[in-house]
Amino acid sequence: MSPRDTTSQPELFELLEAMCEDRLSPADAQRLERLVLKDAAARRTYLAYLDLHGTLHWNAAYGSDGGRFEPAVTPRAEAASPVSRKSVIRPQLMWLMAASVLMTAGLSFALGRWGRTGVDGTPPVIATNGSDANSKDNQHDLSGQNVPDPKSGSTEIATNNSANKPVRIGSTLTDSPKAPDLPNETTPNTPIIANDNRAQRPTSESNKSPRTSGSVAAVVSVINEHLSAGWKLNGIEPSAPADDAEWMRRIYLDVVGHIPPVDVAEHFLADRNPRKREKLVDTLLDDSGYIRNWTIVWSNLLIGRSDDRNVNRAALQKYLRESFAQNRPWSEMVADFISAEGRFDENGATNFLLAHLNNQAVPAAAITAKIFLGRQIGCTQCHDHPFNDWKQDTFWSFKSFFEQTAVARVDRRDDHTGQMKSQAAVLERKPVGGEVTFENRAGFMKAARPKFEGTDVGVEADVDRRHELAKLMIAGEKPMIAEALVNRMWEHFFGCGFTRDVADLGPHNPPSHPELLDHLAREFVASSFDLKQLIRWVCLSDAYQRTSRFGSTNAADDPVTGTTPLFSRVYVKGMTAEQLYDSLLLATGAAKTPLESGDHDRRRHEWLQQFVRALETEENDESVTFESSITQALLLMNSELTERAVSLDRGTFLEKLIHDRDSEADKLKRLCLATLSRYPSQKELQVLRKLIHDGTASRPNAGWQDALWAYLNSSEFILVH
Amino acid sequence: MAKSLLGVALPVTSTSQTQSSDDDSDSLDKVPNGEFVQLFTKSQRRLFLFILAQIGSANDAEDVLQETNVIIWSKFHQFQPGTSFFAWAGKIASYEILKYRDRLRTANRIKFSDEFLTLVAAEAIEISDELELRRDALSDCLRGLKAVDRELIQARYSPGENGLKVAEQIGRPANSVYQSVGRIRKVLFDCVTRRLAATTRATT
Repeated sequence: MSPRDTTSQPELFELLEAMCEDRLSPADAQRLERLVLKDAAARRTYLAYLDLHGTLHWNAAYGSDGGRFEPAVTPRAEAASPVSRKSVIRPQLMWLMAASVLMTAGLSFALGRWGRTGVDGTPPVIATNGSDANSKDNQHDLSGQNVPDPKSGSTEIATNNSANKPVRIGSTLTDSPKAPDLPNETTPNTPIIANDNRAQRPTSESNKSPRTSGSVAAVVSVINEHLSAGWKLNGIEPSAPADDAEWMRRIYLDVVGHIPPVDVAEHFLADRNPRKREKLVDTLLDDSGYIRNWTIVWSNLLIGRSDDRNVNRAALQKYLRESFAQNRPWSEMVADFISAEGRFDENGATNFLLAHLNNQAVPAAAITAKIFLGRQIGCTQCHDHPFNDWKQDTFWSFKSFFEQTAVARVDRRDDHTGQMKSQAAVLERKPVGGEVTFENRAGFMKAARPKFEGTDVGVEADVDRRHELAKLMIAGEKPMIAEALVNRMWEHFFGCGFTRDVADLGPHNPPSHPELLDHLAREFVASSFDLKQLIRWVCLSDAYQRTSRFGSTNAADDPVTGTTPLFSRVYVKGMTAEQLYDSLLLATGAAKTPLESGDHDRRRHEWLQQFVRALETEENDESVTFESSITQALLLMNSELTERAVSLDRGTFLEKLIHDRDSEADKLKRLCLATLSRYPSQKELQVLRKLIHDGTASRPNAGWQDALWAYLNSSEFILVH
Repeated sequence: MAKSLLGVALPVTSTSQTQSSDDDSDSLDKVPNGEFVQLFTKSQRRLFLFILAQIGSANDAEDVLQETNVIIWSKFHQFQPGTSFFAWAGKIASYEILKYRDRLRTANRIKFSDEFLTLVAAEAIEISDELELRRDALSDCLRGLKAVDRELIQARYSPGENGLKVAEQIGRPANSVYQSVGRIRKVLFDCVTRRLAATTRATT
């Protein structure tokens, strides 16, 4: 029996939480004890939870691999042990040596904690360096961004020193090899991490970029110019162009949210038209999949995936579908979300704010800033951010725009019987005036007026503040919503935005290509916030045509390592849960209903609920435990869904394939094309052939099932590359 | 307190010294050999977690580990190479846990019953392989966290920190930090559980 899920026994987890923070009262302890004694599952949960807490605690203090030190205690032991790989004695060894010395002297030794004196009054002997250089790659890094340079052994932050190697920040789920540690002499060419102002950021020949024109070719050439300037400046060669198969699969996933259907793939690969890529972009933008995909993307951003919040998802999605179908200007949609009023089932746009009005509407302000303005203001709620240009009073001024927002509930009755069915939420404006007060860090109360970008709309009760905010947000030559959206779109297609966090623009976090971002934002405004046009510019750019594979000349262009992205290739992304679900059904014919149907959306949404949980935080985060990792895929692969996917039931892809009259080789090619959108290599064909003849008399087609299974399980399938 | 929690005679009083001439020379040494040091280092985290499960407080668990280590080092020659180091050290730790509990009892601060501890200690050994797998999965789950969450959890677990101090530093109310840290811990816990479920199902 495995430990339970944290939702299963809230009381147990609350007590465990109290224990982790040393806040367990004697009465709590008794309750915990009773729960744990009662059943074995709770006992295992208890152990596993404390083990997690302890592991985090231990790894932070002593490094994550307690077991891989080279013993270097005595000269004899040293001789017997393998030679240390590092010329510098790792800090963790220090206490061992100290321990040994103390022990020999017959004294006890202190395993002191950082910042704490050891038991016997000696200063702590543990070095303060919590990170183990060797485990940096396969372990999480609990020392934060201050990854010590393994060579110097210091905890100096790499950004202070432009000659340092790029700092690895976070990690993604790509299969791509990590950028190798470059020898010292090449480091000056290595791009420096994004927040160093001295980075060799590509700047085109000053401000000679053409004025906004709107024509696809003109904008594309500006993108190409800026990006290639960056490559030249950093001395790297971009990746080779992607072949048609790779490009087709990627643009399908990026624009319509699923892999290409097998017959479309076949047709596209055979097409000799030199302009076929351009044609495909246009086709996909007009496809119903475009509407479906962007409705998913934006409803996830606006209200999240979880059903825990009291909103009407269907109505929001209806609003989004209609807006994307008409290609409405982005500015209009933003204004709708900010100023929406009415019943949540009648005006779908109300659901964005309705989802975030908890905690005195703090999330509403923070999320509006994050999603639409690309500003991270969550922490400025309590204090001035040291780097952000938004100060504490900016936050409260912004929040005061939401002060008149109120939620009412009305009964929904059945038209015929008149019986109450459910309640509908109504987003209303209550005509109140005045300032909001907040407490600054010094403990003084301050007042904030509804003010945005220097414009004060007044505190009178009859001013409709949200309406005024909506007008201010979309006004001007280059409103913040333009850069924020361009940056988000760029990340959607390239796997990395111009800033590492697309919702964290601002002077504290300069973008990798400031002029390009600025230019695209201006073009976007000039195009009347035309989303499809923006997608055309990005998808037809030279960089987007390139392969996601990298060569030796641009291996360093890997934003995962914290370097400034140069977009010399398209970075690999993991499929989202929705992309995986739809692609899986499309490839295998396991869908009971067509992708276009509402029924399909409902099934997928139900399936997704197992991965998400809404959280009532300052920014109403969700924990989405779905990741496109192999493990995740395995979980998926063992589900009922996959069973259906590889089944030989009538109507599935596999059933049709096996009973086809084609030659075996053609069938195998089709199998590969349906799943990976490319033809198999000769070597792959050999393996496949062997596999499909492995079937036994009782299960003659088991080999085919195995082959399909293997393809669906591959990382090539679950990644967008 | 002649018996450990596991009901086994304690090595502290053990007299089993059946060693080859080779080992005899070792035991004359004041310093343990390289192999011992390696076993010792390797077992540190596991010992800490073993103690923590029975004590609850990470800081106290470190103290008990220190005391355990002192005994381990003074008795190193009693360890028989080839036997399980962890089993040997675990017995010493159990004895130190009892001593620690005696101190708590005197101060009237005892929280859990002996029955509870016995059961937990036995269970901990029974599922130690699973816990090890969970620790491996944890690093992947940490990497999967959102950057802000990872930073917060890092801040919370920086040596010497706790939720309260972190709250002071970043200027957020303590309760909201407890809430956030707790949420992230739960996310990690569920992530680990799910990963394990996936791998187990995949291999069976």
